[in-house]
Amino acid sequence: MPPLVEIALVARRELRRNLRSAKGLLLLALSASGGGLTALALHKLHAAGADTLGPEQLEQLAQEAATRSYNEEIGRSLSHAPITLLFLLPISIWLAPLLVSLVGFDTLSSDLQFRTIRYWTVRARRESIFIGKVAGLWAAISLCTLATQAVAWGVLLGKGESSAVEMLTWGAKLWAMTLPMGLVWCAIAVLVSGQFRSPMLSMLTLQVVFIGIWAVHLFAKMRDYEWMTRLYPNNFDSLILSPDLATSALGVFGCLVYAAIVTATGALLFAKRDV
Amino acid sequence: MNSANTGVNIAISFHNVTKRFVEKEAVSSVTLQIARGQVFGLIGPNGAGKTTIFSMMAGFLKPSSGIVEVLGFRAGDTAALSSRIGVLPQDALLPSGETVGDFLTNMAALQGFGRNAKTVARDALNDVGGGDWWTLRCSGLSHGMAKRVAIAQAFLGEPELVLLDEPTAGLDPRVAFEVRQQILKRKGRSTIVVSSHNLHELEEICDAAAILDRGKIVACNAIAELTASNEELHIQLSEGAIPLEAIRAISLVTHAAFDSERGDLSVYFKAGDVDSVMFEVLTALLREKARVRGVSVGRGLEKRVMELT
Repeated sequence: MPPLVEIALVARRELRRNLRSAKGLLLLALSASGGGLTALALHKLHAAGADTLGPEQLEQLAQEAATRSYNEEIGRSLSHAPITLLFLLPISIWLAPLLVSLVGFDTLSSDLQFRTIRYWTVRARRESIFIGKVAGLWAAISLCTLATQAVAWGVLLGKGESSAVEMLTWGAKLWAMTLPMGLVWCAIAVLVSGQFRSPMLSMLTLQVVFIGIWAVHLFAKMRDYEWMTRLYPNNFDSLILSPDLATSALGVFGCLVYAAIVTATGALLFAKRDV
Repeated sequence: MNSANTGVNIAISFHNVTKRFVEKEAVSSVTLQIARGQVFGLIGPNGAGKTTIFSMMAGFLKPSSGIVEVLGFRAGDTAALSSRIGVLPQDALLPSGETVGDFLTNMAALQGFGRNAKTVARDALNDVGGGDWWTLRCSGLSHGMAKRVAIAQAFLGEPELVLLDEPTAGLDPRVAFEVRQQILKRKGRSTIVVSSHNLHELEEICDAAAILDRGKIVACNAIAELTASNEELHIQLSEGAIPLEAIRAISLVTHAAFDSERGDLSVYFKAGDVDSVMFEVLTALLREKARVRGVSVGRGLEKRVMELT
């Protein structure tokens, strides 16, 4: 069977497994309700701010905040987005690794623990299984964040913050921009999960790895090691959010290369290990 | 070299295979060949290395040294072997969150059945008598039901080679009988390797077997050879004279002895026509009006394993 078909079959099964499991459904519900509540809270702040400062000044403030976080160019381009979505963006970027770790910690470890993986390894290449698991987890996370965003869009539309077209266009665009970074987190999660037979150990290690990556990023930022800051997948946002297409494509490409390296390493280790 | 069949048509070949875990050598320098079309048994006490050998055949474990070939390919070469082998792992749980139907359909799809995956999966489930379980969650199955679903996935798509680790453990006698019939039905069409503690079962279904002890093969041969069924005869007698001299005089007989305490007459003969030796021995006994309670051929696999391990 062609590897791509194997990958697709494993990914589809992984997506279903995540979305049908009690854990997956609970996280989906929590994320969606969290998205709605956050959007509501941000909207209230926005409304209060608009009363005090006026809409123009508030937009100016948002642009300044985006400029401080990224650069002037990105600040200018994002200033046209609905302001609540703009504040939702960093929250969803920052929470992505947490969501990935909670959904993905047992992607391989539980199958290894109960040896369920043995039913798959006689039928599909180990590499296909690994890549399919990454793809399936990424699809599940992407759907989960989409649901979160969709609830937030619904809340904001209900509150009349902006037009439906503007909300959906900007919402979909900002959501799509988080996907490449999510892919890297998913690849790392499956790589770690494939090293342990105990899901609990996998979860703890994953948290340590994610926090470690963040700490390395902080250290690199303090020392101005530009390349090292890119080890933290979320740091690609400064490229991906750029209005310049080439820069944005470079950010996406960087994420894809990062994810490919991690996935290849994980697939190689998984292919060599006893199951 | 331990060999059940040294012909060229080999399904599984182990060449000087060793498997070490952190502190323990589970399998030591095993060399073994299993002929295509055979039902082959792996026998041995706990810790003998049966499951380790089985797992290397299935590609679950990599040998520390040596070469394992399955159907002419390196064991674990899924690209070449997928859909050609079916495996029933001993201790692998079914995916708890999936229904039986989804699980088997996924397995059939991965074997390349495409649109027919569901039909193939249903047929396999019907074969193990689980036609009504399609919508049940795997986590809700009893041990026996789960075992039968796992057997169904092993036989999916009639693979050339089927590896079964303890296929009837935990099954009630009727279902165990049906599983044995499933195996016997495939005899000659598929190569089947069975690892089991149930020696009577193995004696019934296997053509050949390897007896393992402490990671080494201590005997490997056709079942008839292992049990000496073509060179040994045991007759249980209740009363009457024992014409030992007459029995010893029968052409193929090499030795005969009577255990008066157990009433057991043991007759050893050169490998050959068991039926004619049995006929002549029984004729000699009946001529002396001996009361025959029972006749058994060979010494039984159980006795052989006890001697060797």
